[in-house]
Amino acid sequence: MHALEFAAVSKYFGERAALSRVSFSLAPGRALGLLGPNGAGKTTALRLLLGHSEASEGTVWLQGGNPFDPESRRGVGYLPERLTLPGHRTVASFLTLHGSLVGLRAGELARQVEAVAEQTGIASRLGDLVGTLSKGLTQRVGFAQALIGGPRLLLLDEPSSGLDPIGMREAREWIGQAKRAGCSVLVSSHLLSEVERMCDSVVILNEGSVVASGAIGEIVRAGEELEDAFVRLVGSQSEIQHGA
Amino acid sequence: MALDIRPLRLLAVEGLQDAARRRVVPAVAGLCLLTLAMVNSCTQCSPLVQTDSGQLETLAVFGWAGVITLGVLALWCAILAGLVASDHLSSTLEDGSALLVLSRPLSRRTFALARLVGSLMISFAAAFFLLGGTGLLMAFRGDLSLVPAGLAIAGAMVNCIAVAALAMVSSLYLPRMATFLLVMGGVASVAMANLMSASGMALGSFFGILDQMGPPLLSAIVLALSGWSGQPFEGAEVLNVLARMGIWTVGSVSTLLFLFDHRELTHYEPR
Repeated sequence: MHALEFAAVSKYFGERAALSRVSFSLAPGRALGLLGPNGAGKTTALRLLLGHSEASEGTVWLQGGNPFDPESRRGVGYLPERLTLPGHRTVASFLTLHGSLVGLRAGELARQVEAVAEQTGIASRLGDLVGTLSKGLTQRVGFAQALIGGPRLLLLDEPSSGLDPIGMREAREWIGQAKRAGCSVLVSSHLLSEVERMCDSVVILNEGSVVASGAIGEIVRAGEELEDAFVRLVGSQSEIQHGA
Repeated sequence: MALDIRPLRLLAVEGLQDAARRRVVPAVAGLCLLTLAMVNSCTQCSPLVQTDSGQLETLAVFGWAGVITLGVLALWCAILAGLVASDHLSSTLEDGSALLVLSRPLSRRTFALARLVGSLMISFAAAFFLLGGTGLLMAFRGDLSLVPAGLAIAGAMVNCIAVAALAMVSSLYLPRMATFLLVMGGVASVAMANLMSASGMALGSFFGILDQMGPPLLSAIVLALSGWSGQPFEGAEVLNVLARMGIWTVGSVSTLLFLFDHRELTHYEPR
């Protein structure tokens, strides 16, 4: 069973196709980068995965089930691109709420809150109000809520957003730790170098269509970096579409 | 309909905390105190009223005064319920916080119901203190039974559920101001229809339909307080009011849960 799978998925908003016959999958324990320029359909794909939106055509599978079934989302950690946290809550109470929502109880809940806070470097800020945190610390809290409960699948939308270079390095380490624990990871990002370091394979979207997918080594030509391959693929696709 | 009780409780508390932080809440608390102070002041005078035909009974004076006062307060609580609910769900979609919670293994119905319950706690508290306090003062000073006041509180709370749920439904599709105006207009129209009907006035088709088929926002309170007013009600009338309360409450909550369950949560922008 794949951690997630898109089978010929299209999503239309009116006449506009946000996704057009997109197919890809993520094997358990692997990390997949979802790349594409702004408006390529990355966030739409994540929202289809979480059951926030329904595919117009095709099928989306999340952990072998329908994303609209809450049980399919059990064991999923999600870090959205636009992270809005309740400013009136303390970091500890926010993490406790999310720990409770994933089904953790009493002692285990307190242990998990401390563990993810320690892991993401916010242990000393557990008593602070979320609204008083800097953007970087807020992103760390976002990571902590995604990691609580030991997820089997991480869905990360622009995970490096707001993090400084040290934070970005640490984030790679957290994702690496999750992978080593058997967690599957889907990373949607603009930062190609980050994706190159974290992921085993990539799917490149442009204007709602998959323009390339596979192991990074298969997509990147000799002497190229992922960024060069990305520009080559997305640029050429744009030229084709604009030319037509 | 699957509802997860533990997440529902957790999110309802979260919803209540969100609602309690609204600026309207201190204003409501202040108005409650002011209203109770006014009722306290107005009920301290002697209930003896002398007319050309003789002295009115205490029950007649306090009873009808109680019906009018509690009726107005119940309508105010219904408007408050609609006001608090008018963006209590939609704001979580606009700021994206709902999407984070809904990435957890819980149903959309659970989330929507929790937001509804959280927002209702404010109007329930207002109904309890306003109608309860007023009813208590009326009952003690006018030598009236407390039971009708208790029934009126229950009726007002049930009406709050329907108004809040309908306001939440509206907020999923309309801007907040439009929802607020709908709540004000809807409650005022139904109250007007109920009042015209209770006073024996001829109703046009619009008010007639509102009175006969709409939520009994005022009729339920007048019925509950019949022990104070002495106004007789037939069994069929009582059943009609109770049935409409049940239908509007269950129908509005079910509509909210169904529509939220089937709503696209993408491309949701502040309106």
